[in-house]
Amino acid sequence: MKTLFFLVNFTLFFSLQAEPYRNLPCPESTYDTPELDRLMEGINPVVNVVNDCEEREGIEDAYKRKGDQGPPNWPEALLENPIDCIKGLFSGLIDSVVDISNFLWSLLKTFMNTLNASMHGTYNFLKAAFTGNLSYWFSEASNGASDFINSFFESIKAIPEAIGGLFKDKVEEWQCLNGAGQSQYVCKMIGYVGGDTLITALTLGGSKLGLISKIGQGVKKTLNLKKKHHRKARNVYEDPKNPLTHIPKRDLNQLILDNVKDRRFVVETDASGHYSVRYFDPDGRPRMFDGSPFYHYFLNKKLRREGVGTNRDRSKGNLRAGEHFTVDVPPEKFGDLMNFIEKQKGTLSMACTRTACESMKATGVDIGQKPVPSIDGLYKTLVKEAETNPQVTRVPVNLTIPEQALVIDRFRSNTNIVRFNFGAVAFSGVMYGGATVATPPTMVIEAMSSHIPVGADQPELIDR
Amino acid sequence: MRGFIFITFLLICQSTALFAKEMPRDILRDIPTELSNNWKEKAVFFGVNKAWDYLPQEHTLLTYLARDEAFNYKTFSEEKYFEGLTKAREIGLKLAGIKNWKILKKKLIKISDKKILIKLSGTYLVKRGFVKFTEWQLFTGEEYHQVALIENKDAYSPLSKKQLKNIFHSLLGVSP
Repeated sequence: MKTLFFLVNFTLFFSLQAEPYRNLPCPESTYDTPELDRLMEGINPVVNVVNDCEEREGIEDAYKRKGDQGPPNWPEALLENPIDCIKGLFSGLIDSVVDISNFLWSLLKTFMNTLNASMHGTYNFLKAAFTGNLSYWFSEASNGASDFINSFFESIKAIPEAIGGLFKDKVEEWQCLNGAGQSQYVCKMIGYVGGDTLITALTLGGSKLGLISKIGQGVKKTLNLKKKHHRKARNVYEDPKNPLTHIPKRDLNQLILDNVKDRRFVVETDASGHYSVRYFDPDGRPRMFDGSPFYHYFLNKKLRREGVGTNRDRSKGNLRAGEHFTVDVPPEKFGDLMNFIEKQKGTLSMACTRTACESMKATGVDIGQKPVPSIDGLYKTLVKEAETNPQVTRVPVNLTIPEQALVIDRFRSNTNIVRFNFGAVAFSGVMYGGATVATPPTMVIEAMSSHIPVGADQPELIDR
Repeated sequence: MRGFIFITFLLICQSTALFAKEMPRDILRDIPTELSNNWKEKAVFFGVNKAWDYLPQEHTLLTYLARDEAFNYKTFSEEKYFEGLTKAREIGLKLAGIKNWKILKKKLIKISDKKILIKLSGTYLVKRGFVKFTEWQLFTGEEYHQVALIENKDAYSPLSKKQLKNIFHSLLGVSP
C-alpha cells in the first residue's frame, strides 16, 4: 500500500485543498459598479464583487513569503494578482482532481492486487525499488516546477508506445487534434489527470495490458460506480404526476434562433464539474466538445455510448435538450469587460465556470491569457444557499427547453426555483438553480434576454 | 499555463508538511556536520524524505528516502531483482524524461540474514546529457532506505570517495 503512497496523499491533499473554497464569511465590499454598468449597458450586467477575503489573506501571505519577485518568465498577471490566478486555475480543477484521484486510487489498488499475485515474491522488492524511482523524478523533473510539468506533458507523448493502443485515441485528443478550438490548457489538464493513470499503469506493469479489463471490472466494483455516478434522473415523461407530461419533445436545433446560433451553448455538467459543451458553429451547425473525455470515457458508460468522451464534433443527432444550462455570450462585450476587470487588480473578479469559459473558447471567443477565475466554488455555494431559501423547490432534471421555460415562468411567480446572480458578467449572469442539495447538480441557466423581456418585472436577485 | 505550473509547485511544496506526517522514522538523518559544507538542504515533495543540493555545482543532488517495506532474503533473487529494477526504472523514469537508466556496477552485501545493502552506480540520459548516479539501497527486513547521488557525467566529484561513503553510511544508518 505504501508503494505509491504519494497518490494517496495526492488525493488527500487535493481533498483538503477543496475545503477553503466553501462559504467563507467576508465583510461587505465597497466596490462601486457604475463603470461596469456602463460597459455592460444593454445586456443586463450582473456584477459580482470578489468575495474571497479570507482565502486571499492566506494565499497572499504564502505568496509574500516566497518573495515579491518570481522568476522572470512568470506571467505578469500572476505577480499582480495571484489570488485570481489561483482561483481561476485551481478552484474548478479541484473537484475533478479529487474525483479522478479517488478513481486512480481504486485503480491502483486493483492493479496492485493483480500484480501482487502475478509477480510472486519478487514484487515486494521491486515495489521498493520503484519507490526509489521517485528520487530520480525529484532530481530530474523538479528543478523548476515548470520543468516538472513540461517534462510530464512531454512524457505523455510517450504513452501510446508504452501502453499500446488503449489510450492512444485519448492521447491524441489530449493533444487537441480535433480542431474544435478548445484551449491547450484544458487539453493539458485532462492529459495531466489521465497521465496519472498512465503513470500508474506504466510503473506497475504497463506491459501487462491483458490486465486492463480485469482492472476495469475491479474499479467498478470498488467504486460502486453505478450508485455514485449514475444518478437516475426522474423521467418527466414517465411520471404521471408530472404536469409537464403533455409537452412534446422537440429538436433543440429548431428552438435556437438564427441570430444566436453562433453563440449559444448547451453545457452539460455534473457535480464534479465534468462537462460537455454542445454549441452551434457560425454556420448554425450543432457541435459538441467534451470537456472531460477521460472522465466520461471511463466512468460514464451511458455518455460514452452516446459518443461523449470521444472529444469530437458530433452530429445534431446527439443534441438534445435537458439537464443543461444555456449561456449567451456577447463576444464584443467580453473584451471590454476583461480589460475593465484587469484594471481593478483584484478588486473585481471576472468569473465563469470552466465550462462556460471553455464553451466560449470552443466557439471562438478570445479570452486570451488573462486570469479568469472559476465560479465552481460559487456553484456549490448557491446550491447550499438554496437550502435555506423558502422560495425554492426542486427542479426536475432532463427538462426540454419548453419545460425549462415553464419552470422559469413558475419562478417568476416565486413558486418554483431560485434565481441567483452569478459572477459571470458576460453570461448575462442569471442562474436558475436547483432547490436543494439533493437535487442533481443540474442548473438551468438562461440568458436574461431569452426569457425576461427588457422592461419586464424582474425578481429580486439573491446576493451571494 | 505558467500560472498553473507555478501553483502546482506551490501546492506541492505546501503538501510537503502533510507528507512529512506520513514519513517513516529516520527523517532526521543528515549529512555529517564535518562534511556538510556546500550542501544545502532543499524542499522536497513526494518521493524523497530529504534532498541536498551541492551548491558549487549545478545538477549535483543527494537524496534520501525511507519506506516501510517487508523484506525476506530467503525469497530474494539477486538476478531477478536487478533485472526487475532496471526494467522498473526504465519504465517508471520514462515519464520524467529519463532514458537508458543503466547499471554499470553493482554489489550486494549481506549484512545479516535480514539485512542487505545494495550498491549501484551507472548512468542515464536526460536532455542535458548523460548523468552519473550512485545509489545505495538498504533492506533492513522491515524498511527500505535509499541514498542516491546524481551528478552530470562530466562533473567533478564534490567529495572524495571516502567522504561520500561516509555520507552514504551516515544517511543509511549503517557502519562502514
